[in-house]
Amino acid sequence: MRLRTMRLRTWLGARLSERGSMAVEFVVITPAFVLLLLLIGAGGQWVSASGQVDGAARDAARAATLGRSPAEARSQARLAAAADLPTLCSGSGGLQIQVTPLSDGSAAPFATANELQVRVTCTAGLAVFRLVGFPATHPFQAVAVAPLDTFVCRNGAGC
Amino acid sequence: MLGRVPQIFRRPRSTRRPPSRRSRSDDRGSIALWVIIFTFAVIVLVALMVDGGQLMNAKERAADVAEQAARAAANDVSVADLRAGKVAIATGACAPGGPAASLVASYGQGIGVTAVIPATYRGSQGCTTGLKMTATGPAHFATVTVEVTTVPVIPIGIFGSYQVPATATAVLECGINQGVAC
Repeated sequence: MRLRTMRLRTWLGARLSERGSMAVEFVVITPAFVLLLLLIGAGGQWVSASGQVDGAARDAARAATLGRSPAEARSQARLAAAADLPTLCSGSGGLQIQVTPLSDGSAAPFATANELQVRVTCTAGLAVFRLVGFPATHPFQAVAVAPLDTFVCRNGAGC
Repeated sequence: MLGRVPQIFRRPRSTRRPPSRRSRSDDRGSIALWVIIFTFAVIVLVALMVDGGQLMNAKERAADVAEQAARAAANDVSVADLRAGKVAIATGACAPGGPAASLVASYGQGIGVTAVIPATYRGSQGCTTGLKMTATGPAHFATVTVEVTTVPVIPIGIFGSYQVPATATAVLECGINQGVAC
């Protein structure tokens, strides 16, 4: 009789301790799931940001070619890029734009160049995704080139 | 009396497993397996998503490079023809080292962007210039095809690198705001 009760007790105890083990395992695993979901978000954010910066570079290059002087080209490029990226570049450094006049692929004076190369660097904040190994900020870069109209005066002195 | 004892009581104790241990071992590890499968699936999905997104970005970029290269080619108006009172796109507009090729090469100085004008694309030349009819008369045009190569996150199998083509045409117009074909 004594033996029998003991066995019943161990059986009951095992049953009780086992109950909820799935739930406990889920609790342990949940942070890992959250990290995985964050990884998905981070990937999406990354692709979206690089696409936006590409688009901004394209618009900035096209806008810059309408300028009649280097300063005008730079300001047009900045205006166009800033309009495309109102909130993305929240990291330190923010939005930086570099306009390089090129003649057949090599650097040339603005007045004789036949294309403008615009490099947009947008430092975006990714602080949310630091948990999944992303840096706090990342400088997304894009380069775009647009041709300068051949028969347009570009001496910067009002022509 | 002993001969009538039911079978179950005659079984040696050593072969009887406690029910608790059996059911516990059945449960244990099921979550772990699930987690491994789930993690793998998520990583594959993230790679697909990032690479798919890059593919779309590359498509946009290819379209832009093609458009600007076509504009560069159409912009290359022949000065000799202008002096003779005619308007025409220079014969070297599509040549290697010409404006279209040079513009695509300048794009290639970007970060991780590989863009080329293929010699031929689907039976036609990668860069052509010519004359075509429009609503306002015959117009000089330049058509350029550009292929942009994507850089994959995981360079294996379907996640590999792709060549994304785009074609664009630019038409030469006379004047700044008249928009008349010439």
